[in-house]
Amino acid sequence: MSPLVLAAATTVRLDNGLVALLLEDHRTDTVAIELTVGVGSLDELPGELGCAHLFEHLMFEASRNVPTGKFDEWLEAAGGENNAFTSEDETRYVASFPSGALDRMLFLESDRLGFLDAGLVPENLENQRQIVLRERAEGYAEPWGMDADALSHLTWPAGHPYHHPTIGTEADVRGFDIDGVRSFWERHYRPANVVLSLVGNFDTAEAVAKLQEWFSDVPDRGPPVARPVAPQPGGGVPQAGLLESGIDEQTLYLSWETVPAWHADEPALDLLARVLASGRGTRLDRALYVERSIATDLGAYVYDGRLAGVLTVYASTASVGLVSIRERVEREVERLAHHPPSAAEVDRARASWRSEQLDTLETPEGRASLLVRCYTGFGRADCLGEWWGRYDAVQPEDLTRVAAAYLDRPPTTLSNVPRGKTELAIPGASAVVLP
Amino acid sequence: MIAWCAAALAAPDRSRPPAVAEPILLQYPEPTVVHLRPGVDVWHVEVPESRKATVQLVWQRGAADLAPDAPLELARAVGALADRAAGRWSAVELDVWRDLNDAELWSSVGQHELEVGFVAPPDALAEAFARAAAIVHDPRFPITELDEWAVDRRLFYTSSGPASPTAVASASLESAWFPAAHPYGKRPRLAALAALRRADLRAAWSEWTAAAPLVVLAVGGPWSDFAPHVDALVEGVGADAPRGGALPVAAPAEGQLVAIDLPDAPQATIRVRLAAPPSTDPDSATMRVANLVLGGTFAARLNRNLREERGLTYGADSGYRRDETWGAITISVAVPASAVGVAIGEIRRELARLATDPPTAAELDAARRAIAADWNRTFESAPRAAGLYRQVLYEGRTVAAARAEVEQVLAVGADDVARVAARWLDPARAPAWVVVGPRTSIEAGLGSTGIVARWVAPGAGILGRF
Repeated sequence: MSPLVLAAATTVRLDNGLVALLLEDHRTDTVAIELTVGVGSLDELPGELGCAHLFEHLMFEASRNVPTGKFDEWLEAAGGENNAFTSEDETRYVASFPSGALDRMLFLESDRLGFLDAGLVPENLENQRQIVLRERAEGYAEPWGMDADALSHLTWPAGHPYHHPTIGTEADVRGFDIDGVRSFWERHYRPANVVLSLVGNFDTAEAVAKLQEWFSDVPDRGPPVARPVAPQPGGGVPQAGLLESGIDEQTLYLSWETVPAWHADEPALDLLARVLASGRGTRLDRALYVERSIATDLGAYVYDGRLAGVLTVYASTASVGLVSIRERVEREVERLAHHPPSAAEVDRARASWRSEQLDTLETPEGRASLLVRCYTGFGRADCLGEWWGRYDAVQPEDLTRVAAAYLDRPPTTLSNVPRGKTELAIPGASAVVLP
Repeated sequence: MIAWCAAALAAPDRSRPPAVAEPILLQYPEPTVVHLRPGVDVWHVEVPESRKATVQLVWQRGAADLAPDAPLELARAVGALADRAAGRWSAVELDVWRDLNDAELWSSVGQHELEVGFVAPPDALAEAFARAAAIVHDPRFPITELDEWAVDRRLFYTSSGPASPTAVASASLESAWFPAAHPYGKRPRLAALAALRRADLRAAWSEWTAAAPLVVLAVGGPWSDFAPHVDALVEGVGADAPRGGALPVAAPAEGQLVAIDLPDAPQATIRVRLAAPPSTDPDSATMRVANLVLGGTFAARLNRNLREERGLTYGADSGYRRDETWGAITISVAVPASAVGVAIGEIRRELARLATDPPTAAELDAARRAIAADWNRTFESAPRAAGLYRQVLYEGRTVAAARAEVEQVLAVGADDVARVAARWLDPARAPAWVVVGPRTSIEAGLGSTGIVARWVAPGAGILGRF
């Protein structure tokens, strides 16, 4: 599998502004489609927190020619399956289906993109409102279920587009009205704000003709509305947050603000996180597990959003307080900030990143996703050579440089401790109350 | 290249959803079988254009085939830890190798199988074979790995498990269905966890791998890619002995309701299970369709009812497990605690309705086409293809027979589903219910089951102590 696999993609811009990326893949009879809408929780105005996610749900309710409940019924009757995801930056609608269902799929997608307003009625809103509240409750009920939202709440100051949870606040979700939802639709769900990718068993010319046919009556509702301009750093003072839970383990998260997506330092930071805590023998694995068996779980990850990014390290323990964990993590970070890792460590981190990319390329769904990622990041469907090249160019000294630039400062922390045992938390940590 | 499309087109016909072509079921080859010696076979399957190959050693005896007094934790530890360090490679060295070579390498244990496997690109096959052979012949079970695993399991049993509504519900259901004396119902024992020793794991591994029949599944490139390495891989392991196989499972004679009080849970988590046809029963193919109509897709009846129409849940679904000797349908959903009575009532109604209100054409299409679409993706990659051959191996049949069942599924009609539902899915037919949530909120609603609740603490639910 080579990065050149996306080079055969065709890019089409329809009259209404919709951009479509098409790639043939005849290994099986499957076709994958992805619609990415340039709207996420960062676009939400006060009083509509959670609307991007709620709207994702409403996209499955009804449109002018697809009655309530029929989107999924008609898709699944064709042998298809689908899902959707909302993040801070975007909303993605994904589906895969047998090639013989291409017309049906394009009918469904074009109808809801063009004519969803017909289904924006109070009863549908109320139904999805309740489902979103159930989704929120179900996620928060599990051990560590609130941690990610609590960490964002701490990392990004109040008023920052990344401060509030994507699933919204309970008050705002309960407060949505049909006029507000319609306004959200009109502002954001415009064809010019959508990138569609199609990968699978079709002929490109025929598929383009079908796209033109099915989207020909989807009106051009104007250019995308202005979005918050990147970068938009948090710039806040590091916080120390506290959650108490019903489990006999304590978990510490340390989060440093870094860079937005596609920044020149993104590859080095990604590899730095892997050198720190991705697999046996990495820096924190040695410090917290191999040499001193105090961690029951540990890891590191980066999130580089459209406006800003973070590098987060986490570790769980049942045997020591979180101050001890913090000291060891910060010691390893400081070492990397002053002494480059070995070439072998960087090679391993790079290889594991590349492996994930190759795995993604194996399926039509993965290719569809990468096409959109390329287009939104590089302005073209075929970017893998350049994108992978950025990772290939990272040297050990780059990891030290970015560690010094972004991690050699106090992080925001979140201590999740057993109920009643706040002495195990980072001193000074204050209870996090999610709205 | 960006093409600007300026042609004026007539609006498309949106009066009805476009028709969909009937699926054409793909053919897949039978494996090429090489008999190395009595009790040791190799199955080879070539998957064109696959980026990686996979090799899976499957000893056909698993946790349920061990001695009745062998603790559950021993089997689990053996399966979980054999791949950590082996031969001259430490845990770190094996993990580094995985990352550098775009490879996976694992061991695992099931009720009737023990497995060592890897996925690797062609240029790393030789090294993958060497490491897999080390696991087969000399797994080291490092003390640090054993200790970490034991701590993790203990914390799950005593802390994170009892705090998780889904973990409590799932564990409790298994214990409600399988008695403790049954090989499938062995309960976790913390004392056995603490007593695990490396020597015990190594002894169990040696005995297990030497005494069970072995099939090596090699999927990916041509046989010449694999042939040079197989003999060293299987030297001294595998035996011409009876394979483990599905054990009889007597479905509970009476319905039961296990209720677990989680005072802080914001919702009620519900599980219900009914006996379903085993794979050898003529109703089994139809039950695959019935299950999908009931709760196997997003638009299925349970989800449509409880989520889309009533807004009570983020998702409701059903699953059909089957083996040669037993089968079960399991329904899962979480709802507000105050709605548990309504949810239970609607679940019972949907179970009954499948017999009296047969599936529509669209429902049948969804179920049949989902099964066909999944079949047609089998050769998308070598690992995915290996799944079919593992299934065929376990069930003791041919690929042609597996395909024939899919063809049988495609021919299932509405009346077939109604008949099978009437026979198997009567909600009064000794179901096992599990409900997890705050007792003060859920107790009143439990009466909808018609069964007296047995209240159990969360920890007891996880450990099956009831």
